[in-house]
Amino acid sequence: MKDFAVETAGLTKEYHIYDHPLERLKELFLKRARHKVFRALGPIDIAVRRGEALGILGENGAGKSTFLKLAAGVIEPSEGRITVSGKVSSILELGTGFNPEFTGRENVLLNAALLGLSPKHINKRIGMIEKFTDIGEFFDMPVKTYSTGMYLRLAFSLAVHVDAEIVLIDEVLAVGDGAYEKKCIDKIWDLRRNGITLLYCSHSLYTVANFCDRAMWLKEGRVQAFGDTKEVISIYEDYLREKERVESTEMPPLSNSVMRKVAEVKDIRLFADGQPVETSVQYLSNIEVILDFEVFEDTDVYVGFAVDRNDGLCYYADSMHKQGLEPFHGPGRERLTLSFKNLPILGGAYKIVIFLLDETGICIYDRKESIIFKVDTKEKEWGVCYLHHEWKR
Amino acid sequence: MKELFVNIYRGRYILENMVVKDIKAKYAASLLGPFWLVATPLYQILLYTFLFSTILKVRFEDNSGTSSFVVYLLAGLIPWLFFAEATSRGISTFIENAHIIKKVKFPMEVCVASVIVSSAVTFCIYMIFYLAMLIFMGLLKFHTFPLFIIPFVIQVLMILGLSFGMGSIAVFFRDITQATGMILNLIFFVTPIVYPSSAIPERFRWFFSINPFYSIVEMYRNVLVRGEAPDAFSLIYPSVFALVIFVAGYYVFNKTKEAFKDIL
Repeated sequence: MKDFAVETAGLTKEYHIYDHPLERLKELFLKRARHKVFRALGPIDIAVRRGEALGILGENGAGKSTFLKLAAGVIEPSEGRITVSGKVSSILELGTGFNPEFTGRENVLLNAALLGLSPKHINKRIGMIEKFTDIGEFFDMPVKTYSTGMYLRLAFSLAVHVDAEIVLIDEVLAVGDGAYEKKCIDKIWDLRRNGITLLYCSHSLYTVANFCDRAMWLKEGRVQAFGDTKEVISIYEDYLREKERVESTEMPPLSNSVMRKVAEVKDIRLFADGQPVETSVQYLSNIEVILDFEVFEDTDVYVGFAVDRNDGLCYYADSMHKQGLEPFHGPGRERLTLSFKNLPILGGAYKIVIFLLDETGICIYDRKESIIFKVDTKEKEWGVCYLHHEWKR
Repeated sequence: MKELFVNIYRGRYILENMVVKDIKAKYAASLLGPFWLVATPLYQILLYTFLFSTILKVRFEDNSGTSSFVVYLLAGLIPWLFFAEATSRGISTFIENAHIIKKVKFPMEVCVASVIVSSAVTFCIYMIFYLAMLIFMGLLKFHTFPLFIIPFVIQVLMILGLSFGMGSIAVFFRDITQATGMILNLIFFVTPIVYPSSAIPERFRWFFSINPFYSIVEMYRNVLVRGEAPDAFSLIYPSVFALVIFVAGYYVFNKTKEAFKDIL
């Protein structure tokens, strides 16, 4: 048996766009090209190990469904190849090949036959499928009378009861009700314990994080990140935040260009456990911020800081006023060290913003941002920062 | 050809499922069930017999009356009904199975095969009734009647070719399915089914002799009621014709099938 359940090499899917279906027909027989090319996916080179669960992330239209369809063999790659070793069952784009006119039972029988199960084999399974679907007499009613939830239940129970070695799931669990969702999740865990390979495509990063060993982030048909689920999710989340960045509500610094400058931040340096920070820091490391600034006037200057995430969300902000500290008095060059013991921030991209303020805290003399740094977490914890907690029973 | 059989074998469970469901839908799901199985052809027999035999006084052989008209009519009408049903359904089979073609990988040949098998079941039922009737009337030619399998195979080959070829084109160009009914109706009337070939005026004979359905219908009549084995020309011409249609149709299908999923 091969080590890899799914392997791709230069896998690419391009769609040809035609003005009219007839143009397409002509092209198949005549030489002249009559299309515009749209690349939906690729090139992609990945390998999914047997028994592994791969989460596929990405925005709408990123190529997730195209990838699953290629894996299911429903569409053929335009270039490159995808090798899938094992029997595949799939829930693609809300439902398998269900005929709305047929009853649930008839659709199960048809689709089981499509998956290559013999009638004898499927007759043994149909009881289990009916029980798992749990929609009562609707099982023997035409599928067109189903609610979306019932439709999904049927599709899901079918896909997980046909002894597939590779199961492809495209964004479905979210539509069922809570209790049923739990049942589906339990079933997937069951299958995973029995060693099936799972390709799971979802917008719910939380489920992906829990189900999947590795994840792949697709953007405009290309692999943007591939690897450990937690890392990929963290990179993807950073991207999403960056994209949806809320315009900062901070007050802009008072325009000092016309006035004389009162104070200026010269330099911000970051150290994590004594080492200069380049791009990332470890979760819970000790962070030191060394700040150089200059006060030009004979006046009091207070220092403030904020820890911001890359989408502009402020995690924490404080200033010398609030701590009752004495201000710096100019003119002169000053140095200040700000230290965080065991910085409790979970994965993401952050920056530290330094403010030089007047005695009211409202007037900002100067504002400067540190480099953006990432926090690496491989922990199973979920959320934005560590909260101190204890368990008792 | 081998590829076709291999693919149909691979999809045998799907084929079985489709055929069973189709037959159920046809006869079990409707209110009067098997009544329609008898009523539909009976209506046509009565209509054509009344129109052509009683009113227009069409006679197949010189000695005959109305009962003989029915015997000859059925020898052509039963194979025709099979051909017309299988072809018209075969041409829209890919469109009708769009929901599975788009979502599941399976040998699409079974879509065509299921339509033919399902129509052939009806054909067999009619044929059994017809043969029983001939035996009862003492008209069945026992030494030649099993040869009706020859024109039947030629018909199947033709239906396969038309379903694959026209059916594939219909995916891109739905109008084909609209035109099918009209074309089939035309073929029905230019083939001597409701009238004898002797009624064809001399100056149109050449046209009828190039109509392959003419040879097929005559072959059925020869082996069933006239007791004549098919001669070389009437055998070779429609066979070659059917084979060409089949090869061309299957070629078109193989050339276009990858695009079905994107279009449907």
